This record gives sequence, structure tokens and C-alpha cells, in this order.
Amino acid sequence: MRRLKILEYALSSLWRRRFKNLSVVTVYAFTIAALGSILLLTHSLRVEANQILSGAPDLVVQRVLAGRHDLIPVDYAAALREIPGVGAVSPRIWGYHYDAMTGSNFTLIGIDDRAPYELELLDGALPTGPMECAVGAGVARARSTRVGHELTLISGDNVGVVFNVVGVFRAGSDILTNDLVVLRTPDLVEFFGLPEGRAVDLALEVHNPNEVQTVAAKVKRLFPDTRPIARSEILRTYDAVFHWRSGMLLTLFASALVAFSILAWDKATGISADERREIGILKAIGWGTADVLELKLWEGIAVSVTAFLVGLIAAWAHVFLFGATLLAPVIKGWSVIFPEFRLTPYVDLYQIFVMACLTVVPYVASTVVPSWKAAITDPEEVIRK
Amino acid sequence: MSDASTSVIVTERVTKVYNRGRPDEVRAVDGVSLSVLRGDAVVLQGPSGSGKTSLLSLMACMSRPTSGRVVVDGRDVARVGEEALAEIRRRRFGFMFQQYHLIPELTVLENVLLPLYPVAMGWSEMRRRADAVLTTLDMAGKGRRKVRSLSGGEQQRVAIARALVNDPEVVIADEPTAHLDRALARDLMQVLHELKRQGRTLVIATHDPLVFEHPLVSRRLAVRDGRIEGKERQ
Repeated sequence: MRRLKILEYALSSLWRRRFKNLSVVTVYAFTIAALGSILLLTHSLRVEANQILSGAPDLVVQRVLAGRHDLIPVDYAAALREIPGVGAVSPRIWGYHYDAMTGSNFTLIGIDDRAPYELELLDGALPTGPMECAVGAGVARARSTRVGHELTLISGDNVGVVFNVVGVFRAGSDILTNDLVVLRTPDLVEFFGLPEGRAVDLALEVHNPNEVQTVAAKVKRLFPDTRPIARSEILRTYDAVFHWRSGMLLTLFASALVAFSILAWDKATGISADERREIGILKAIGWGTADVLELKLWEGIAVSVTAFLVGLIAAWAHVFLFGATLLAPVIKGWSVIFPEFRLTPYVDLYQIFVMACLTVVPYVASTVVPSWKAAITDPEEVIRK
Repeated sequence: MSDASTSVIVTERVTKVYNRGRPDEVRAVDGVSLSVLRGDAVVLQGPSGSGKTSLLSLMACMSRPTSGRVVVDGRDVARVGEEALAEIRRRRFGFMFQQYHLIPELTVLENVLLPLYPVAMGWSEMRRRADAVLTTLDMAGKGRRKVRSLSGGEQQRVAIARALVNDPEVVIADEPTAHLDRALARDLMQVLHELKRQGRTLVIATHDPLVFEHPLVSRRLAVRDGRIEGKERQ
């Protein structure tokens, strides 16, 4: 009962100083929203990247010519299969297609009998016949197409090629299939005008995951003009890129953090004459030091938790409802020319906990400490000042 | 000195020094020994700056003496912990400040309820007590008004209501008529007289003859330069 009454008084005190507290909550929430957006976005992108790569080949072998990625002879596959520990070797045909009509970049993948990843179809089926395609939700949205309709793509020869849409994808996340157009391999070879006997790269299955690097070394020895890329390397690259980008943004937002710190420091180094006087009055009429500290604790918790939740909800809405409009150009990089996609919300509770500890705890402390100084002083002395 | 069993407050050679050791050091209370008996109405009479308020603060456990002893209900205040001291202030004393020290943004009722927040008491009982004390002081129906919108006399009554809501045994008033006109001051003296009739102990600091010459006063102590001067006048 006593605790509830002090909480009630704390809330009414905050309401009395609502304009000051509202400005604190606004600055505080903005800081949390900025930090939260960066953390939520980079975490979700990392999780999405991991999901994509969980179905990716153990090892991808590309050919490098003049330091650039070049088409690889399909013949290499036979020799690679002979390396101990290597299972299936599949030539892959894929590439990017800039769609001038929508200003979007599509990823085109050729398939033979099965999808390159564990893809889930929303509607329809994978292409089985000539001039058929399955498209990602983003492509369908961008081109206003669906199952039973047509999709016209302009080839490199500036000729419009019409495909029948037989399926629309969905996946655990939009990012996996959003920009995808899946065609039969012969159709894609013809569309891109690729020479016979060449593939974009070769996908290798390695039986023992611990042997991937050994196999990669053998591939390199066997074909010095190739570049074997392990799945774990791609994962590390994604991680490094997102860490680097989020680090850059965090540096930029350091100014917001500094502003917040100044605000917290300002509170920590003193309380207003009115607050000091009120503490003196409360003590003079019988409130103990513990009662005053509890009051200030509730005030600090109420402000900081409210601001934290508002900031976190704003960050959530910004990233997952509005597609991180303010951050996407920096964090997502070139993918801005993708058809728009929405991230699946993934939240790292540890990150949220750390963020809460780094903001709520210092703020509450900065509220309680100066009040503690006033509360341990004799009430007469506080009132006289 | 009176028997400790009937004394509510006893001070023994009590001294209060502000800004000790600095050039602006002030010896506000200088070796005062006195005893306030249960049911007494003691007036500390003296000019501004004579140390009355400092002495009242010491007696009401709002500050600790630099030297000497303050004994309340037989307990030496210097040996009592911070929380226990707060409890003594809450349970034993009702303090009426010269400047009222109300919280202007709060309503009358909220101000009066303030001393009851740290007490284990339900909302309904708190409201009942506050309503009763406001009714006694002719402030019924004004509970929802903001204190800043009240006249000086009404603010004085709110301060009295806040001092009484805990049903304290000792009421301590610092210059209670300082900001009131004569009519309001006489009304206030009636209120204080009624408190004395209820058996409460009163300690009042004042330099207003209306107060120290009032029939309710049982003892007058002249304070000058932090000391009790001359003989006590009954």
C-alpha cells in the first residue's frame, strides 16, 4: 500500500512537470529509436543472410579471368567430382537483370529439376516447361503480375521475351525470394545469351563440413584460374559488412548519444531549486530518506522505461513497418535498387537487454543520486536554501 | 527543569552553528536548555534573526545540534537513525512553517495528504482524515482547488491542516501570523487555542504581541542572539 501510494505520487509529480519530462522522454526516445533501428536492422539482415546461406552450397567455385568473375567451363565439374570428399557438383546459371520499367534489379536463376534453396511457394508451382517462370513477391508486386499472367523481360539484345508466370514465391523471409525470377536453365541461357558449355559457377557439396577448406585448397591447386568460396566465408563477409555499416552509423549517431549523455549529466549534477525545496518539505513533514529515494526511483523508472519502450516501438515500426526508410540506403547498400522488401522481424533479446542497461540504468541513477544528496541533508537546511 | 516523564521535548545546552569554521560562521542557537511539558503552550519570543526558527527546527528534529542534546520522548535525537528521526517527525510533530511551504502546483487535498503517503494507511482512511481536518478549519469543499489560487489566510489553513492530519501530539508553529491581517490572525489564534484545549502541546516562535499576549500561552521565553534571556514569564 505504502509503495503504491509513493508510486502514485511519483506519477503525479511527473505530470506536474510534464513539459520538462516530455522533452526528456522525446530526446531519450529518439536516441533509443536511432540506436534500436540500427541494431534491429543489422540483426535482422544478418539473420536473413544466415537463412539464405543455410541452403547455399558448401563450396562455390567461380572462374576468375583478369581478376574478374568469368563464366566457368562445365567440364571442370567432372574433375572436381574426383576430389575425395566431394559429392554432387552442379553447374549454376544465374545473373542479374535490371528492369528499366520499374527501376528494379531482379535476380534470375535457372533450375533443372529442383529449386536451388528450400523455397516455399505461395501460389502455383516451379517452372517445368519452356518459357515458364516463378517470381518473388517483390517482382510480382513491381510488375503487377501473378500466376496465370505474363512477365515480359527485355533481353540484352533489346528484345522483349515473354514468360508465363506459373508460381509466386514466399519464404521464411522476403529477402530470400523477393527479387527472384526462376526460369528453366535453357531459357535463362538463351535469355542471357550465354555460350554453350559454360556456367556462372559450380556448386559443390562437401560431405564433411570440416573438410571444406581442404577441398577448397585442392580445387585451387587443380584449377588455378578458379576462386573457391566456402559458405562460412560468405557468412563472415556478410557479418563484416553489416558490422562495418552499422558501426559507421553508430558513429554518426554518437552525436545523439552525446546529446543524451549531456542531458543525463545535467540531471546528475543537480536538481532544480523547486525539486530541492520539495524534497525538503517532504522530509520536514515526515518522509524518510528512503521514501524520497523511492519516489525519485519511481520517477526515473517511469521516464526511462516509457522513453525506452516508445523508442523501441518507434525503431520496430521504422525497421519492420516502414522498411527502415532512413537507414536502408546505408545499411543495405546496393540492394536499394531491389524491389522493395520488408524484413521479417527478428529481435536479439540480448541486444535489447544491453541497450536497456546502457540507457535506463544510467538515467535512473542520474535521477536518484542528486536527490539522494538533497535527501540526506537536514530538511531545515534544504528548505532554508 | 521538569520531570522527563512529563516532558515532550528537552534541550540541554544545545548549540547550532551554521557554516562552521568559515568566515561567515553563524552561531544561531547558543547553549539553550529548556523543557516543553505535555499540554504546554510555549512561545519563543524574539526579533527576526534571534535564532527562534533554528531552535524550533532542532526541537522538531529537522536538524541536528552542533553540540548539546535534544531529547524527544526520552530519546536522544543525536543517537537516533535517519529513518527513525523521520518517523518521529511524522508521528509526533505537526510543523507550520512561516512561509507555509506548500507545494503550489498541488491541490489543497493533495497538500494535506502529503504526510500520510509514507504511512501504512489506506486511501479511504487518508481521505477521511484529510476531509475531517479541512472541515474543522472551514476549508471543506475547497479540496480540489490549487493552492496557488488561494488567499494567504486560506493557504495558512491548508498548512495547519497538513500539520494536523497526522494527529500529532506537538504542533510547532514558526511566525504563524507573519503573513496574516489582524482578523485572520485572530481566527488563527482561535484555531491554536482549540488545539490546546484538545490537549496538544504547542511551541510557537513569534514576535507578534497578538500571539505572545494571547491567553492560550502558558510560558513565554525571550530569545536573543541564540540564547534564552532573563526569567521565564508564565
